[in-house]
Amino acid sequence: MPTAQDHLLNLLRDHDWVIAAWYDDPADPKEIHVVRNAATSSTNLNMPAFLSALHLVEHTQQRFQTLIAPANFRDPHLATQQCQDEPIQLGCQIQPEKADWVGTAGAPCSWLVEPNERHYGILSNWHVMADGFEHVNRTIHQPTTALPTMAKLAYWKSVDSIANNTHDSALADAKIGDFHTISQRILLIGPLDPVPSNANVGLAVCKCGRTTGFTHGRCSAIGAAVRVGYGDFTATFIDQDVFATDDQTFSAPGDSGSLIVTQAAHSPVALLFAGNGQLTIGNPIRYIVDAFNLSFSLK
Amino acid sequence: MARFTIKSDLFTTELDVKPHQDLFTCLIPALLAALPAFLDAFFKCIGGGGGTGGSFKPGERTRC
Repeated sequence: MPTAQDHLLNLLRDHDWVIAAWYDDPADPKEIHVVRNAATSSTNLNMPAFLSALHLVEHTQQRFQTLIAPANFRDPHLATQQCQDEPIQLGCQIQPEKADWVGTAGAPCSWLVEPNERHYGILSNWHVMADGFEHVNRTIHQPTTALPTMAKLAYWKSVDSIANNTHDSALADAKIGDFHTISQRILLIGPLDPVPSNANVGLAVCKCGRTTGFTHGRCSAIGAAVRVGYGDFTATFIDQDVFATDDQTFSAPGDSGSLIVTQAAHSPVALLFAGNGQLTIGNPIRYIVDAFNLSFSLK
Repeated sequence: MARFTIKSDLFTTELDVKPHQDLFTCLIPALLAALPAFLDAFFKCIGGGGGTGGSFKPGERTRC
């Protein structure tokens, strides 16, 4: 018996022009939202009985892509793209070694390597810090490789082009010499509430990213199935959070890796990793916390 | 002169006791000298140390 989540996945599997789908309320669905790829000529949806019983809301948008930016341009007016002295506030531009792109160092965090050995570093995306050269101790630089190392790649979750994914994340250890390079603060946001939150539809959120800086928006959907372009392959993600804003662009290329937090308490909600100019997709932070036994406390 | 070595898992210190000295008068400065190493090892034990871990120590280096 397929679950409601299975029906969303089947929609994406059976229609290559469907790039995202979600329910208005995953626990008690009355509407199904389907996003069509604007670049393709769509045909009729083949809906199973379960979905046909729901009210269909269709959207036509550009395809979703990861949000990295070329490394050859920096806006001199944006603090998020400038070099910072230690302790480095995150939400800023980073570039890994052997990469011609930049993204965002999302958040300060810590994790246990051994029962008594806590490490401190930065959370960002796999496709920002690890893709192309998946090596422990790959150096991460801020804002570009022209400046000294700020962290070293430690752990990552590779994105699978065949299986379903729940997160695109990586950790880099910020201990360089005897000290940690990072601050407990995020640029333009301040200190984090270390207790993560789950998104819900309508939740007011904000983030600080390399390209668009500080922006605020709302959660439009949870539990979405989304198809995301990674340049040379496409990956399917399940149970994702969707964010949008009415009066500005919530994210743009270069913002991948930003941490999306609640506006009220700055509690971590999702890790920004893809978008299409209208909608922004985030990995629910609970998947990343569970995968790496992660904490947002630096104590 | 006699040399005493005080050794534990946390620190090692040595003290020289000259014939005319009392053991306890030179033990106190020797223990005080070993105190920083002892405290460092102690806090690593209770706060999670070893490897490249340890407590969070934000740097203040000029990078730009």
